[in-house]
Amino acid sequence: MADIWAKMRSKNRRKHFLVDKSLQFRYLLYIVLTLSIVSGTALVGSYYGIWASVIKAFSQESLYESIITAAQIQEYDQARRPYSKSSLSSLRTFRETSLLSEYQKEMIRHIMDETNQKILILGILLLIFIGWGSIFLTHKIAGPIFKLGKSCGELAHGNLTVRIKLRKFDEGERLTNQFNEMAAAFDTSIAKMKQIAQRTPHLPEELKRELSKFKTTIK
Amino acid sequence: MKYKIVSLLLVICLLNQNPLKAQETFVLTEEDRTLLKKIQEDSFRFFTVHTNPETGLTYDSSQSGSPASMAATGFAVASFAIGSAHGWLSYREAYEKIEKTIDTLESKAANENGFFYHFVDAKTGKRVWSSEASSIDTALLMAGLLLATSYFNGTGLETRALKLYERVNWNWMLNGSFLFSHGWKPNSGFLPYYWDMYSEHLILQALALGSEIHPVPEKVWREWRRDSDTYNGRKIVYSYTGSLFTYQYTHAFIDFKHLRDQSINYFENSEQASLANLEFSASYQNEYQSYQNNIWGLSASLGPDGYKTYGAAPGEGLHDGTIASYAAISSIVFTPRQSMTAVRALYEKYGEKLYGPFGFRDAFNVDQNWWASEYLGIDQGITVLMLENFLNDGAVWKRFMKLPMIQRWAERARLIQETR
Repeated sequence: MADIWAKMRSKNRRKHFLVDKSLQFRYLLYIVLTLSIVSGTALVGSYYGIWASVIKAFSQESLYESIITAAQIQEYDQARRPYSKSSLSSLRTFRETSLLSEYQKEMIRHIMDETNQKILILGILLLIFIGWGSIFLTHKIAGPIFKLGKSCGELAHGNLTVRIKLRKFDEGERLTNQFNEMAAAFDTSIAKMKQIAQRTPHLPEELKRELSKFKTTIK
Repeated sequence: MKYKIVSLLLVICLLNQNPLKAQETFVLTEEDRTLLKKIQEDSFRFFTVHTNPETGLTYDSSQSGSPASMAATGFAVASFAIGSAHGWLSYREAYEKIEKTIDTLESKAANENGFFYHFVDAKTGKRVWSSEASSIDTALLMAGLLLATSYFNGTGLETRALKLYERVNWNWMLNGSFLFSHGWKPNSGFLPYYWDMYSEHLILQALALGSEIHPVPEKVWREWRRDSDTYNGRKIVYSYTGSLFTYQYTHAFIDFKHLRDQSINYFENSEQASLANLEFSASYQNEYQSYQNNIWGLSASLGPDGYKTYGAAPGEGLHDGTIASYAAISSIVFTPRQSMTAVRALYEKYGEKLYGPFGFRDAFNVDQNWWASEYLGIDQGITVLMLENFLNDGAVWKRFMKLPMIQRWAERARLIQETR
């Protein structure tokens, strides 16, 4: 059993990792670029969503403003309900501090809520980007492979006029060129044979019938 | 014979002159009218600058970092409507500004049973500073919106503003009693403070009694105390603090001149309270330089030691020489001569330090050489509305008194129409 596994491993082992350097490096670039865009956007998004807001909210200026506002809000409260006034100034400081801490908690909650919302939107946009990008990239390979398969089928059914035309940025240009050359060689060769058969009356009918099954560029 | 008639007329005039009344004939000079118009327009400008353009919520104060306040937003909405009538902003601009506010109130601003929180984040409408869903702030906001409906009659704005008003479940704020609670907090429930005596809460009463969808029982109107006391021979149904704004806020919207609540005429009451306020500070002229030069106005405002409910007797009468700039101006409908004298003195004597891009800054204290650098939204608002009533023949009153909810309130509170 171990022997079979070892054989299979050795059978599937890659001897050369870079068989088509230009194609592989291009794809390496595509993947690295996509990942960089995704992680870069996520990093920048989180930074501006969370840290920049936190830094701004807790900057010296903002803290100063918050302290002033806390005192004012506490004074408003006292002014609204003067008969509940406490003469203890320490209690007032306590109320202001508690108000301030409550406000800061509210702020953090608000920042987190906003960030979550931003991340959600960003995530959806990135998913759309990744989805569209993947389809585009895979189509560059899948398209030519599909065309190659279809053309091989036609060739097998005797259509020697079949040629593969690729889009500008499709991959596998060399392979399709080779296929087209092969098909053209068969096409020329069989067309010549057909012409010879037409000129030669003594050839067996069976051979002529077989040759007529091939569709060639030159009749 | 001629002399006899003139003497007789003079005697009649002297006999008719009541030293306790402020409503002697007052003629506004063109110069004074121009000054008041300038103050009104400059005060109005506060709202165009200090209202968030995205949410239409107005900042409580001009100080950076300030949250939005619902009462200030109510005054802003009212001011935008008034501003459009004067051409300070176009009809379309005013409409769009108020529409922004309504959009936020409908969908973004946190509320409980239709009551909005006292302080909210101006950018998001979310509750901040652990504030309460406030009964009085919501009432002032609704008053502003309802006033705006009369300027934008028959538009979508009217329908939407009315819906916001109808959404308020006034009964809920009674907390099972016949008095309105000051507010409600998510963690602790109703605040243990109730509007149980005369103050600015009459606007809350009026809107709640006049509601068609959520009317409160008629008993609510009779439940709060009308404590009265005298100062300098003036009998006044007074507020706890004796702060001048408590005699002004409701009167910015409702014309009490011809309404009597049993034996009380609240317009006359505010007239007396304003005069008492003036006389109270005048009696301390020797102690406080701020109270000299015919300047008066003890009302809730910023001061050297923070925001305080300054006021006069009757009432708590807290004062330290700080004058609220808006106070005397906003009493101008009650005490035109005394208010105009104070406005002139304020402008001419302290204008350099006190007058800025949005009119008079909030307050000052000459004795402590303290001059506010801030403007407060509610103080700007009361100035705009009261000057509108004074300068334009009760323009706000005329519109507000025609509202069906106000007429329902007058009927349900059994107020008596009288001629003065």
